[in-house]
Amino acid sequence: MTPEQALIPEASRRADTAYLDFVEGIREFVLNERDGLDHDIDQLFAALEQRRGKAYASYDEVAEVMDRTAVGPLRNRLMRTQQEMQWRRIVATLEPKRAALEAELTSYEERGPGELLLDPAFQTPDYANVHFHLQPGGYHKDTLAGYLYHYSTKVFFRGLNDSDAIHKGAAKPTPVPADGQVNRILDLGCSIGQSTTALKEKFPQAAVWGIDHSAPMLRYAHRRSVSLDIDVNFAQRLAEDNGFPDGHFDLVYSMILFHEIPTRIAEEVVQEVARVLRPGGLFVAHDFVSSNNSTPLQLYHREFDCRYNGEPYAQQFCHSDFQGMMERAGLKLQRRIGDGYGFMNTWWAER
Amino acid sequence: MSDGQSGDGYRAQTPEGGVPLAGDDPILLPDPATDALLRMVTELTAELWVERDRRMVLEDVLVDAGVISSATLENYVPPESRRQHYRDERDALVQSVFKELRRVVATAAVRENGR
Repeated sequence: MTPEQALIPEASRRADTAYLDFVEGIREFVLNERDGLDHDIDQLFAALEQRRGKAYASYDEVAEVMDRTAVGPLRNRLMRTQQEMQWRRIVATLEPKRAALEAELTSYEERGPGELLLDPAFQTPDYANVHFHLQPGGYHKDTLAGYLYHYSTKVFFRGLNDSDAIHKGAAKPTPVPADGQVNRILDLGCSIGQSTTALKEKFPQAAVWGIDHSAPMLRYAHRRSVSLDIDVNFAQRLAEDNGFPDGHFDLVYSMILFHEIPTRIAEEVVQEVARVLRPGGLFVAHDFVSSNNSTPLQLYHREFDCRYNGEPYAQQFCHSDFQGMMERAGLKLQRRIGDGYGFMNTWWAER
Repeated sequence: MSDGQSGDGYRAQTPEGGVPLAGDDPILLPDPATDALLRMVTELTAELWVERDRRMVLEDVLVDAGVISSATLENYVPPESRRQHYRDERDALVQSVFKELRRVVATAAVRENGR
């Protein structure tokens, strides 16, 4: 077992572990790239397109086929149900341990390495008042939000991220500024700090800060990084108003933040990134692909995810001009890279 | 696709606009009964797996420890006190699996009363 795996919350009962293992199995049944239900749906559309002699060119065309064949509603019913089952059981299995887990978070607050800066006067913005991915209480209302979230990602990623492999894999190719200097790094919307620690492993000489609006997530992130003995810092601050001095960072990083905030805020965040980056510093963002680069079938799945899986801002982001935001902020796009999975892009931009 | 309980739930969930979120318990299939059936089957299969997992582990542990053999399990006759416990467990399982039917009834009651 890896150190990261050892930190995944444990269920209270073996029956809960088995139940959540089943939910993971449902996700595998739908999402397996070679043999899943989604693969069957892709094949269905390929066959239909071959027969009609042209591709489905719009969301509406795809939705009509999905509804007519009942394939779409059945798939959507199953995906919504597995999310509901997952959250119900994760909440139920952690609830008996609530007092012990809250005490655990408290016991780690003053421990190092690394600092945890919480703001007792912090006002959560309205736009963050969302039950993202149907998580009860969203990211900030339940003191155990970090534990709930972490267990849910074990199910969501079907075990593939139990050792932070996705976050480490994303951080690994992070470029350095032209002068090679990376002394300070800022991780925006760091959640439970998996990118933050991955960045520290990639750049061990740098001081790394992770910021997020959610105190429960940050407390969990700190408990996790201390347990891993990785020297990173966390602060309760907004990505659009982070409070760091001008030109402070060599690298600003975000991992799937922008699709979870309104476009208006995204514009402000990019302006703030430009403010805290030093000249020559780099902005690296991983997020969903633009709708312009999505197939109608991908658009169909995304619409379901937005509407039925607590992603209200993802469509806004996917239809936005992210490159234009960077240009308006004075950031110069260097590269845009697809990650090979067909739903993520990486942007590198220089100040 | 209908959205079950929406209304206020929508606005609370999308304070800055964005795609309106479905409220709690959306119905995704054209027929609410079929929708409930799929949910029941999924829940039922989860319960089935939980039990299979438990039984496999239990039998393996007991056989490894030399406590029982498979034949002992097959031939076991429980006393009355345990039979009652098993019945209680059965009823709890039925409630868990078939709760969607009650939701359909409750939703219909709300709908019909509103006419």
